[in-house]
Formats: sequence, structure tokens, C-alpha cells
Amino acid sequence: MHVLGFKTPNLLWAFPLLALLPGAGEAQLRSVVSNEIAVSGTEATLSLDFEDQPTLTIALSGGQVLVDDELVGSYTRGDALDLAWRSLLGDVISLDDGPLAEALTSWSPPEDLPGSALDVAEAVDVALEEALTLPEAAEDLEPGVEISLSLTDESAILEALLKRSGALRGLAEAFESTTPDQFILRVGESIRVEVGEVLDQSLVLVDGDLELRGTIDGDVVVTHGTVRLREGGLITGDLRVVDGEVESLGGEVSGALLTSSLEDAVALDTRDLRQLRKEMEKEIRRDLRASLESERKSSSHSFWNPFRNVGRAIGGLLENLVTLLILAVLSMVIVHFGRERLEVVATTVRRAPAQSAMVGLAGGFLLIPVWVLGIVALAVSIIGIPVLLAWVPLFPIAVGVAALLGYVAIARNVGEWVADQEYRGLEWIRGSNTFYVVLTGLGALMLPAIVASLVRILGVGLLQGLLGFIGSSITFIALAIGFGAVLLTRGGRIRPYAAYYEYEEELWAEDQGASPEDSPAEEGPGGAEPKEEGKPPTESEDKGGEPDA
Amino acid sequence: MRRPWSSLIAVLALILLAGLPTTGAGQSWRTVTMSRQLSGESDMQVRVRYGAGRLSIQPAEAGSLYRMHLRYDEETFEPVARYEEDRLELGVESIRNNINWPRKRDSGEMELFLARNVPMDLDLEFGAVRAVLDLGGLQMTNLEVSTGASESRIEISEPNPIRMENATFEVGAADFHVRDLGNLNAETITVDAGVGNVVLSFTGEWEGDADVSVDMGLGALELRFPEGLGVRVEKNTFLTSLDSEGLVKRGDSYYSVDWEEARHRVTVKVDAAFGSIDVVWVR
Repeated sequence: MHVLGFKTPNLLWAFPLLALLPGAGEAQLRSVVSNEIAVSGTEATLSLDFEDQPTLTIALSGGQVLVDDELVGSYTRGDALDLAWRSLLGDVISLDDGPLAEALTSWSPPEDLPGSALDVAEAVDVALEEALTLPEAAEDLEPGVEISLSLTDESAILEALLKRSGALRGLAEAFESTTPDQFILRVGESIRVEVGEVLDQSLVLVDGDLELRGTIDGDVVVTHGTVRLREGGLITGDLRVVDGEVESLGGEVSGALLTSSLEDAVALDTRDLRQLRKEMEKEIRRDLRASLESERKSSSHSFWNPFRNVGRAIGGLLENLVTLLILAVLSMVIVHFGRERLEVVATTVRRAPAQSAMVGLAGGFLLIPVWVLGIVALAVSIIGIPVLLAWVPLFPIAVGVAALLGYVAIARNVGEWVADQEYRGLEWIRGSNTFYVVLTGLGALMLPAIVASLVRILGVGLLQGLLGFIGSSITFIALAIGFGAVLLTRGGRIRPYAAYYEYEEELWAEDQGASPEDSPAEEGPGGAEPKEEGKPPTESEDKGGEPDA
Repeated sequence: MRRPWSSLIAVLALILLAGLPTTGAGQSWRTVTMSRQLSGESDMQVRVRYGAGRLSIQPAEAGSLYRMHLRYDEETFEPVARYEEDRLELGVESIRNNINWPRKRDSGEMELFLARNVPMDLDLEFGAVRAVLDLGGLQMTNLEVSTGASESRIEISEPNPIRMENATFEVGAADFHVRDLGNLNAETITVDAGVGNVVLSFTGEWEGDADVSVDMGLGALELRFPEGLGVRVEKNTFLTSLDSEGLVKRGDSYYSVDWEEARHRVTVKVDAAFGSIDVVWVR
């Protein structure tokens, strides 16, 4: 037997010294693996990630004080609690790990906080302390336990314990179930009990191995070590091994054999259980909320659906009407400022729709390359850089104007066609001016979209989708043909179908009783002014209708 | 003569402008500081993304994997700090399609500190930013820098302790300066620049030879070499002038006078169109 054991009733010195150990009297702080501090006008949040436990998040956000998403109180932006918390975050924003943990645990709520705010701040303080402080290893030792230490050198065992402070957690864990009245403590050494030797005390072995061939009359606690129970070896009490191994080689343990690891102990610590409970509660609440929401939706579906459809239909209708109104305003501007060009484009659409469509499609595909190439070319030529500033925004605007002009020209032709059909109730179109004709055409072009909005009331998705598709197709085709016609006529400036214009104008002149030779159409492009300056005859006039107002 | 179309264009331009978002409206600034401690990382892929504002990257203090300070508009962006095994992703990402452009004096910022002691494959991507990066002392196995319309100053103030395979700089339209490229300790360096002013300074402590490839669209390129470094410049240019001060033309290439005796040699291949290339020697 190589153990020198003695009873030390005056070992009180050991406890203040042990209290100096991290994890003993003065709390050892957890390692903060990562942290996040977020501050804005409406929130001030601290999140801490630890190696051995879940994240702690404390947030003052939107008037609520939340610890791990659990409401612990309230605050008002700018009140004493808010300022104290923001001040703390400001102080620790540049700190990491140890210094951060120290600063947070040493924080205490300002004493001048009003009652409720002080309670909330104390709850926050407690949450910080709990999260940042490691469990105290020695606190569970029962008072009055008589301890016998085998000390060959007091300073040596103290040094050993200080160096192996991690083992104290295991030791504390072991003492939860095995608490001998009197024991021998050895740290960092291996012990052999030879055949025939009897140790009549319990043995606590930290960071060392036990080779047992004789008898130990009591309990044995081993942390971070291996117990070899050789033949003839006997432990009359319990054997508790934490973070170690037991090799049964013919020896016996009369009492219980308990083994565990620190990971298990940490995993089962109360904070984890609380966290687990919280997560389960959250999950259950989420599921319940989801099922209630689903039920609410399904129950409301049957009753509210028609009303919702009506609402959406009205919304869609208003959307279409607003679009129509905007187009009408823009058409009015075009008719007012550029009626002559509109007529040229509209005539080109009538005379060469296929050619216009092809040119429009090709032009549409080339728009972006032309724009980009223009940018590059202007950027490369040094003198072109000022022009670049105009090119970048004006090119898309010019394209937009061209597309609008083309679309209005299509609308004008469609309006004329509607007028020619002599539908009952639409007689007013025949005698109206160009703007009315264009407005009618716009309405006709948008009719499928408007009807699709109305059909929505019925909830017939297929019909609505079909009408929507027809409307989109009509718009696309109209834009392609109109844009192509604008390109062909260079924005209505040239007349690719001059003979047709002359024919129309001659027709108009004949109606007026003038000879074709007198027709101003021979004045060339832009010079066709049979009646008023800058105003060629409209289709309605051509067909014998009243001239434009 | 009447100009009706100009009036119409003016009307439409006003309508379009009325639809544009209001500059600086609705911004809500949030400040976030994040950090993570080293925990035995041996090799990391680090990806940094930042859209607009001021960007700063520096080496971190010992024990820290990264420390990031962000100031951003929380209605438009959200911070990114993803850490999983050997990957780290940092920066901000957009949560909305339309962006409230920041006012000139009120922009976002990102300040990032990265660990010195972890070998990392560093991928930096930033847009319209004013960037000041000091990558000195970082252990970089690869470096990729992509920037849009930015004003960037990159310095490698201390040597990279490990040999880097490749460093790539992709520059859009930028004022782009890199200093102490020798400290990168890179085998190859690739610079792909669109439009702008690019200054590459090959100062620093050279530990080996390097091949440098510069592809420049339109703009000015300045190559700064320290005396004593062996330099060979091969150019394939169109409408680009070369001020080859201190270089001697042999065949199709330009060589520094001490090319044969130089301890370390750098071969620079320049492919440029429209612009100028200036060679400057630094003592």
C-alpha cells in the first residue's frame, strides 16, 4: 500500500484555496464562442453562442424585453432601462470571449431604475449570470462531511488540483451519488492495492489509475482514470467512475457500479432541460397555430370566397380602368401634338401589317443591343461622353414613345373598324373626332382584360386565364405591329405608301368638289393640308362624316 | 416652327421620373457587431459580399476568427454571418428588389477583421463601394476579388506566410489600386478590368516568381515595380500607348535591365484596348 493517509481536522485552509479554483467558490465563466450585438432605432439585442449550451438572446425590441424569445417585461424607447441596456451594449461592443463574459456578468442594474424596470433588469441580469457562469463543482458537497486527504505535500496537491481544475466537475458529479463520510483523496497519481492489503477508507482518485488486487473497505470514486479490478480485488462499497474506464479482470464490487461521462452530465443539466422544454413548447405552439390557421382558412373559404372574388374583380377592373385612363390621356396628347404623324403610322399599319409586325419584332429584339452598343461607342469616343449622358436615359424614353405611338395608331384603326360596324348604341363614334375613335379602339383592345376581371367574380379560373391570355396576345401583337409601323415611317415623318395617301386625299378632294390637281397632297410629306393647317382628313371625314372639331 | 414632340417627350420624362423611388427615403439604419472565436479551424473558405457603402477589411486580433461591424438599412438589407464547418460567409444581402439609394453622406459601412492564423480561400465581392482592404498577414491559399463601380484601395502590408496559388481581381468600372502585390506570395495574379484607372504596385517581399495577366478594356493602367525585381512585359494591345520606362525591348517583349540577374522575376502579360500603360519604378 503506497497511500499515506491521515485525518486532517484542520484542513479548513483547503476550502478557501479551493474556492479560488475556477468553477468552485468564484464562478468560472463560460467561453463565448461567438456574439452578436445589434442596435437600431427600435431594438437593442445581444446574442451569445456557447460551446456547451444553447444560444442566449436578450432583446429589447418593439417595447418588449425578451430573453430567448420569452417575454420578461416591457420598456419604452429612451427610458432608463433602455438607456442602461444600450449603455451596456456600447461598453461591451468591442469585447470578445472572456473579457466580454466578465463585463456582462459584472453588470448590475442601475439602482435608480423604477420598480418594474428594476425587476426586468434584474431578470436580464440573472439570465446573463446563469448563461455565463459554469456550474459550481463544490457547491453540492454536504456540510459536515469529514474529509481526509492524503497529502504528501500540501502545495503539490493544491498545484495538481489547480492544474486539473476540469476534473473537479467530474468529481462534483461523482459526489452527487456517492458521498463517503471519510475518504482518501489522490490527484494525478496512480494507486496500487496489493494482494492482502486492506484500505479501510473510501478512496477518491482524480486523474489517476487504480490497480486493485487487495480490498478497499468503502466506496471508490475515480475521475479521469482507469480502474483495473484484478483477481482477488474487492470493493465493499460502490464504485463510481466519471470520464474513465473499468477493466473487470476477476475482481469484485459489492455495491453498485456507476459509470458516466461529463458529456452526459452536461447534456442533462437543468438549463438544457429547460431549453428543451422551451423548444418543445414553441414547436407545439407553432403546430397548434398552423393547424388553427389552416382550419380558419378552410372554414372561411366557403363563406368569404365570393366576397373576396368580388373584391378582387373590382380591384382588377379598377386597375384596367386606370390603365385605360392613362392611355387615354397619353393618346389625347399624341392626337393633339402629332395627329398628322399618327395618321401616317395608322395608314402604314393598315397597308402593311405583316411587314410592320416583322419590323416591330426585329426592332424589339435589337433594342437592348443597340442601346448597349451605343453606350460603348459613345464611351470609347472621348467626345461622345457628354452625349452618353443623354443617350442612356433618352433612348428608352424614345422607345417608349414609339411603342405608345404605334399602339395608339392600332387603337385608332380598331376604333374606326368598330365605328364601321354600326353597332347599336355606338352611333356616337361615327360622328365624333379622332380622339373618340382612338378611345374606342383602346377600349376594344383592353376589352378581354376588362372582361377577365369581371369573370373573376364567378371564380372560373380557366375562362379568366383564357381571356387574360387573349388580352396579352392582342397587346403584344398590337405593340409589335405599331412599333414596326413607327420604325417604317421613322416616327410618322416619311410616307412609305405615298400613293395611298394621295389616293385618299384625292378621294377627299373629289368629295369636296375640287380637282385632283388642286390637291395639296402634292406638296409632299407633311404638306397635306386640305382643310386646316396641319390637319389631314380623317377617315370619318373621308367617308362623308363631319370634320373634326 | 412648332416642336410638339419635344413637349411630348418632356411630359413622358416627367411621368417616368415621378415613378422613381425617392432618394434616401424610408431608410432605417441598424448597427450590428458580430464576432466568433477561433475553435481549431484548419482551413476555411471565406466569402464576403457587400453591395454599397464603405468597406474595410483588416487582420483580426489573436484568438478571433472574425469580427464584423455593420451599419446598414434594415429595410433593404440583412446581415449575413454563416459559419459551418470550413465555410464562412459574411456581409449583407438584399431583401428587397428596389433599393433606396443612400444619401452621399449617409451610407452603410462594413468593417471586417479576419483571423491571421487560419489558412483561407478568400472570396471578396463588392459593388458600388469605397473599399480599403489590408490583407497583410492573412494566410491566403487563394484570393478572388470582384468589384463593380468602386473606389478600391487594397494593400498587402505584411507577407502572406503561405504560398498562394492564384489571386484574381475582377474590376468593373473602378478606380482600383493594389499595393505590395509581392507580399501576396502568389504563383499567378490575374487582373480583369473593364473601364477605369488601375494601379498595380508590385512592391513587397517576393518569395518566388509570378505570372501576372492583365486584361484591360478602356482606361489607364499603371504598373509599379520595385527596383531589383526582374520584369518582363508582354503586350497585346489596340490603340493603347505604353510608357516603357526602364524596360528594354527584345523580340516582342519588354525586359527590365537586370532581368537575367534578378532573384525573383515577374512576367506581366497585358491585353488592353483603348488606353494607356505606364511603367513606374519604385525605390
